[in-house]
Amino acid sequence: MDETFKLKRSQADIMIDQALEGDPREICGMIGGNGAVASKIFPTANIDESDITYQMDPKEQFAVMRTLREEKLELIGIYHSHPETDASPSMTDIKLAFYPDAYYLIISLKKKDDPVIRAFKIVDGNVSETGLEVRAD
Amino acid sequence: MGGSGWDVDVKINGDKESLADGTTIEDILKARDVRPEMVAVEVNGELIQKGEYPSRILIKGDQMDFLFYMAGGRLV
Ligand SMILES: [Zn+2]
Repeated sequence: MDETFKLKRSQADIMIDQALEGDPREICGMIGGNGAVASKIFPTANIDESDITYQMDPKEQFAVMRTLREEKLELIGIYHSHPETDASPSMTDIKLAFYPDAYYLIISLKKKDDPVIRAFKIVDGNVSETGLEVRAD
Repeated sequence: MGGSGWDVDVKINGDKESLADGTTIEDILKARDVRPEMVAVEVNGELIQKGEYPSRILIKGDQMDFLFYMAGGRLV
């Protein structure tokens, strides 16, 4: 059983605000921390600029990874938004999930006034929902 | 000093490693079971084109970083 992913209200809001601002495009980003506890959100550009796909710029990924190394943090999460669909990974999301140790967070804007975030582990094509705990700051 | 054949000291994703003379980017990825199409590679902060992976030999002091693409989507 994977540990429940933990983040603060303000960190969840960074992702939700980015998703709402990016709507109808998908947005994405990386999460640094330790284990299952988030400490820093890194919004990144979606170079696909698409409503139905996302891809990060490797240059930006490298820069974030360097920052994480310097700050002794790990890459613990990768997030993106689903502007029109549920917060569950698509077939393509699953196929392109190359980080078995990371949590995959999806922000659904299906209900624009009630965004939903869910967290998953995706290992060798197998998806398991881990649960998400949003703590007060 | 030298002569061992494993004296090319580099850093890979921040970790020190000693490589055999003539080790390429492709060799390093293969040794880790990483398919080249899944990763982006930088050497000393410079993004390397995929076509160069088989020919680019790491030299002493090089810092190679690689990471898997982060992407997804609702493709039909
Ligand atoms: Zn998706």
